[in-house]
Amino acid sequence: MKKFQEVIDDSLIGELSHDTVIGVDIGSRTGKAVLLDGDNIYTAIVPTGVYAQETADKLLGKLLKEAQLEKQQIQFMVGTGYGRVILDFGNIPLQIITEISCHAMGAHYLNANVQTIVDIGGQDSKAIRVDPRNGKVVEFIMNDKCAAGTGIFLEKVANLLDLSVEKFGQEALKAVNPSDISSQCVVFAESEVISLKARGEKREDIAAGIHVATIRRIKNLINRIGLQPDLIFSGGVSNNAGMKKALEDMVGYPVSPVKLDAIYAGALGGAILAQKALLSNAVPTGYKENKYVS
Amino acid sequence: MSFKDVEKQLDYFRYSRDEVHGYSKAVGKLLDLSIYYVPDAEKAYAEGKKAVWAGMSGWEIPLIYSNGIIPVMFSEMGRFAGVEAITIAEDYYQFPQETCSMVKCVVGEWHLRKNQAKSIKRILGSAVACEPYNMAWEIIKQEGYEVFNLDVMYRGPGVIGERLEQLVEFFVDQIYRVQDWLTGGQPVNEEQLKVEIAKKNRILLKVRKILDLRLKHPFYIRSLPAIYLLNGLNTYFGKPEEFEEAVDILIEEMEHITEETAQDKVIPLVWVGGTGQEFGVYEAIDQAGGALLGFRNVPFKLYREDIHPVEALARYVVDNQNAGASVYVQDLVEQEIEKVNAKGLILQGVLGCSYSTIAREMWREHFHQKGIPSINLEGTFQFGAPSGQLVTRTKAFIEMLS
Repeated sequence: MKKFQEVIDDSLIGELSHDTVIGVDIGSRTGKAVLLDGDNIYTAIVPTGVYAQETADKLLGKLLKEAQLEKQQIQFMVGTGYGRVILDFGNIPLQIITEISCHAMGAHYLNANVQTIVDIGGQDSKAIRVDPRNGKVVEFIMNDKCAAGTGIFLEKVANLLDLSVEKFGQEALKAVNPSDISSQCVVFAESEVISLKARGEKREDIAAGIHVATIRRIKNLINRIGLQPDLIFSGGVSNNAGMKKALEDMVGYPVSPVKLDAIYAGALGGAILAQKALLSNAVPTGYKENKYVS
Repeated sequence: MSFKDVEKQLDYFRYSRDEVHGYSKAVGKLLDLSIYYVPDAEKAYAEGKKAVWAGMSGWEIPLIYSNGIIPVMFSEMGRFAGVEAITIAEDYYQFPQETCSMVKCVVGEWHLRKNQAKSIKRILGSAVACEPYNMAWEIIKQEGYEVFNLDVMYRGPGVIGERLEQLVEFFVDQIYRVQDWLTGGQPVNEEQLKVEIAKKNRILLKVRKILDLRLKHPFYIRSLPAIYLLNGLNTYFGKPEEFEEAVDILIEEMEHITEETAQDKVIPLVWVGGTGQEFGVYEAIDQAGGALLGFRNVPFKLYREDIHPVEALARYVVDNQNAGASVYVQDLVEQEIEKVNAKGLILQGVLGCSYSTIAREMWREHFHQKGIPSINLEGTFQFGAPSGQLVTRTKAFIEMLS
């Protein structure tokens, strides 16, 4: 548990209410959730299981236990991430919002000056431009055409190099001569890595080469929307030190530090949007009957 | 049926008809016409009526009807197609995976029908410059289909005056060739063609009226039937009288709506693309509060009734937004943006279709310069729900505009 003051940008703390709300971000690899209660922030993370609802229920259970709250004390929830579509928490009002809007809002509250977000998740990557006045999305672009440039790609290559995902990035930082990886396709890049191994190239060089090749795709996304500082790196891959360095080297601009693991940016944004929904009396958008209402 | 039960393309229609638009007899009728279009046309053909597979250009429809033939838009097969059609195209005909998914789907469906004794075996191709379709027709000819394919006509930017008249003359000649093929050499029934053109103009004006009424009541007809209203305007789903009746009822219903729509709740959008088959995208637009009010294929022109009817068909083609150069579409989209006060553009293309996707970059840049945001969507003719990312992009775009 942390206090707002320990996490939220000082200039925006006053905009948060004391309502008890949760943001749940069900990604393809991990489920994350953030609970805001009073001036406390609780976080939870679990691997995404086969069923998104089960993952969400686990997250909810962990948060309630840590905060010593009952389910009925939750005033509003926002579901986001790829698993958002099937979420249902019974009587808790629920709004479904895309991870793009949630990441933007979460990053904004972590750093009020953020204008560009690079979000690399398990199955896609995104570049998002944020309005620093309100945390709303100004423009975004997604790479969902190819697994290269996503977390799952890095996992695959880490396996080929007998490294855990956590150590993969660290290994890349040791590189002196990053290998030249030309393939932009997961399948071919895997073959290329095997060839590089057979040629005796150093593991750290191959790892660094993969990071550079991955970031090359991300750079195109950033160029499309235009890089405006501050830059925040969010999503599951943001904890990879090798990726962070490759990103900074490639765009020539530092990633701004934030006071919460940026993997929670989407869930935090969801929780903040849940508070805003309460304030504006928004109608929950979890599945509802579609009738003609002008 | 709840939305959670929607699995197949036809389910979207039933869900939209029964759950979303249960209050509207007209929308129900319109969606039924669409649902039963291809099966009913094939049944009519089997019972002895004349029918041909036709494209989506529009001009050929009055001509086909004037000869007492039912036009069956082949892309409408998409929503009945399953995985089998696509795999036939990729595995049996060895189409590369990146080939246009619409073409693969249609070829697969024709393949499945090739041995049926009473299936429609004549195809009128008029895909302008769509190379995958041109190839598909060559392949499907070998399967016993009789295909007539028009020569390409392209109106470049700034083509006016004598050059334009030459294009009209060229296309008039093409239309007579189509007439020969359709009827085995019968002359154009000018009087009947005039009747069909007058009918087209009459229904076209009615559809325009509905589009105008939608500006006041944007949520009465949601995205799926709005798109299919325009599709139906093209072919009448094989049943002109019933289509016009549905349109009349819809006008009647919309003219008597008493509730006022809070316009600040509306996110007006212009749909710049074709139909696609990923109907979950339309649902995502609706759920996010978007309203497709402007369209690339809006019927902004009437057929001329003061000239020879064949020339009227030709002039309709060279004067409309799909005459060739993408700048014509851009100009029309600009008018649509202004008309509906659009907050954004959805630039939709079919996966693997260079024809519909490359021009989007030009439009995106043009409209971004004017401060109109846009999103690129790649639709497919795949069976089932759209990818989660496609829905995410769609919803995030509307959230951004809200």
